Amino acid sequence: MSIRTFRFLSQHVFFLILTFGGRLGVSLGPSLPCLSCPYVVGCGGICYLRFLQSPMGGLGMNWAVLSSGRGLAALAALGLFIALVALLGQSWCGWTCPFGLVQDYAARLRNKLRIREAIFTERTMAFIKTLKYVCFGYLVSTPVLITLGAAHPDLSLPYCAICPVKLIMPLLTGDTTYLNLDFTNPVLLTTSVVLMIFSGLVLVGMFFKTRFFCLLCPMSVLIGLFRPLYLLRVLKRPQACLGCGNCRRVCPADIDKTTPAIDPGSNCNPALVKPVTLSTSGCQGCFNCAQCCATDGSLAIKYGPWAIFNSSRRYAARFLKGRTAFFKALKGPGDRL
Amino acid sequence: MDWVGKSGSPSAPHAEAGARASARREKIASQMAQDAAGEIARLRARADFVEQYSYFLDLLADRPDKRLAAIGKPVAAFLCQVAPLELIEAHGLHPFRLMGGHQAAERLSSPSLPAVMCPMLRSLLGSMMSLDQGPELAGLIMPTMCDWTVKFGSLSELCGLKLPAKLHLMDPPRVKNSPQTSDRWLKETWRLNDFLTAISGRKIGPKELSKAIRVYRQAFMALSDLIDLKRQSKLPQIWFTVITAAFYLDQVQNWTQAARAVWLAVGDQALVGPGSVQTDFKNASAAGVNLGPPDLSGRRNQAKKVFLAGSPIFFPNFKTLLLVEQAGLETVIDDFCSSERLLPGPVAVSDESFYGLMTALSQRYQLGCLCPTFADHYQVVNNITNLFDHPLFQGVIFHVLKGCHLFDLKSLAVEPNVKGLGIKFLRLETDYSREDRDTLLTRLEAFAGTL
Repeated sequence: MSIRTFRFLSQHVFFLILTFGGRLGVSLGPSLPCLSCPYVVGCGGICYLRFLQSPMGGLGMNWAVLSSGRGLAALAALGLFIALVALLGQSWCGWTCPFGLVQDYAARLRNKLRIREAIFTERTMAFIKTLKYVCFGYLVSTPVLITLGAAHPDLSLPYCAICPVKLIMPLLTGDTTYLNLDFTNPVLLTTSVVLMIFSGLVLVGMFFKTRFFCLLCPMSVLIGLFRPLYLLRVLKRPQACLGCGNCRRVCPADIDKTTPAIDPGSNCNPALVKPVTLSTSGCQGCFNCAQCCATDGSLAIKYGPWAIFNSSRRYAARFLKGRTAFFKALKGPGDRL
Repeated sequence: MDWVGKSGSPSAPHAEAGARASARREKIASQMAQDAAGEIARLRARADFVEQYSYFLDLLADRPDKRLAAIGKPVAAFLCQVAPLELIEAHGLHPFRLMGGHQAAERLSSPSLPAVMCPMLRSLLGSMMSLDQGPELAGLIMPTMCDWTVKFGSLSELCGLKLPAKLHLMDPPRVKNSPQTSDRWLKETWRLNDFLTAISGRKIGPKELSKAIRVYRQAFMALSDLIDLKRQSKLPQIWFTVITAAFYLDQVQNWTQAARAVWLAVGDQALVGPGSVQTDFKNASAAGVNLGPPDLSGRRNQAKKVFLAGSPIFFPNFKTLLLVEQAGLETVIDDFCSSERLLPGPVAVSDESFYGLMTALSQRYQLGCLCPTFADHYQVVNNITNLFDHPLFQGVIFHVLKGCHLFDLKSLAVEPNVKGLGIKFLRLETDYSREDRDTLLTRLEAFAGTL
């Protein structure tokens, strides 16, 4: 079985649990590092971003709440979130996120219809990637401003109010509750209009660009804050790279570090060239890069100090041909990272 | 279509000269056929011959024109490995790489060509001159990877050759890892697509291209398995080179099947006890008997293992490979575009639209190419040093064909890097002639002694 098949199974299992698990009494708590939307009726877990914005458990807490038992509960939720991030790193996005799976199916449909994927220039891509930091800034600052009385109280859960996942995921389960404009007051009307526009853009975007929403997702920023703690990460040995571009081409996040240039000072000496981590901000931990790399030991997936997968010509040849050889290639010849 | 330009008026002196040229051509063609047949006979006589190699030897034994006619598809010939094979295949054409490995053929073209010149190209031009009636070609694709290929048209004219098909030049950028050069190469690939559409009369879409990519992925898997056998000392380099030399002489699916058969047959052979490689040769020479190359299958675990890099080696000129064997060395890795790097590798695709497939092919063939024509040489060094911390090989032999400036320069760039890592390095400069065999063998034996 290939990593891709494992991932495919994992995504579907998590989709079912996180979208419908609550109906069977399954609850994975409010600290999940993936977009498990609480607005889906019967969801099996809650995205930590929702908790982070909450006045009673997140950034909007005032001193009274913070010093009470709720403060400890909030800290425990944060601790759990950090522990989960440390355990799986950015693979939460690639392996468990229900909205990630929805986007993957949109890309599959596009490929089935043989429609060309949108290509952004480097400048456009850089601009789009900054938007997630804007979203994240909006998400963390608004609850604080509300607590200080500097923002309208109806902006509590500010990011959820405009998050496309809130509209699209319930729609997938047949729930149209959020498909409307809220005329209660100008603030709610504005947020509901933004929600509609944002959702529309994301629906179109995810069809023409693989994992388009991930480029804008503030969860990846939050997960990225704990990058030094990742146990699971992808490393590249630049001195082993032949620069064929396979890894970059299959990277849904267009991470350009997949083909790093060798420092001329190293004089191609392996001892002087350090492995480069590819688990940077934006990486979704899908491991497509490592599977498609046909150079022995150029890319490796490490869990803590252990290399659990090394790229190899043998694995890539079988993987790209369509045959699976995960277990055979689990310990490829390039076990050096 | 004629490979040789027709002479003009049939005046007496011209007719006499024409008759002489024709006789010379026939003589050299016969010499080439003899050389090929002799090499094939020697290969068949090897103790490590298995029946599964026959398919490849039979392909090499045929005259190229007859062989290509038997394929049953229009043929698009090309010279360097950066023209995407999948694209040619998708157009319903058979990709055929032009190769020149005959020393005899050089004698035919040499009088018209520069004294110091790539022997491969000189041999290729000579081979073309030796044929009265060349194979029917639908097109001729010439990626201008070096100065000699840029001037291929002019050199053909110098030799009095009329090109057998419409020539399409591709202009590869010499710098990798730059978005601008990648875009330029992508445009070249689109231009090639237009050319192939014109010569095949067939406009293709993503389905045809996807299918061709899948076919070549299977071929790569078969090749990759054979590479593994070579790493494990189960498949000698010379047989590996025979297999890869026959790649373009049949439909890729047939070749893949035959390569799988070799993998099944050779993969299970166990290594036998140690022995001395040179002893066979010495005994044979002393007895005045040509026993052919030694049976290395049983002694390969004793031989010093080397990485063979540099200018490609084409059938039937296996001089260097045989000398390496004779010196008690075993090639477990090579980076020849005629051998291990016959295919650039599996093409990974994320966007399955026609544009996405074309982009993937274009990038794979440009970025994955280790040809010294590109400015950056770190990938070539990487390819050697990456494998060195495994006990796979003990030294690097860099094969340079005289006149091949690119590989000459590359060897100079690679040598300090490789030596700097404590890897033994031998630069072996030669051509297609047999006169330097003894000198080369002495150098190789001395090199083997240092490992």
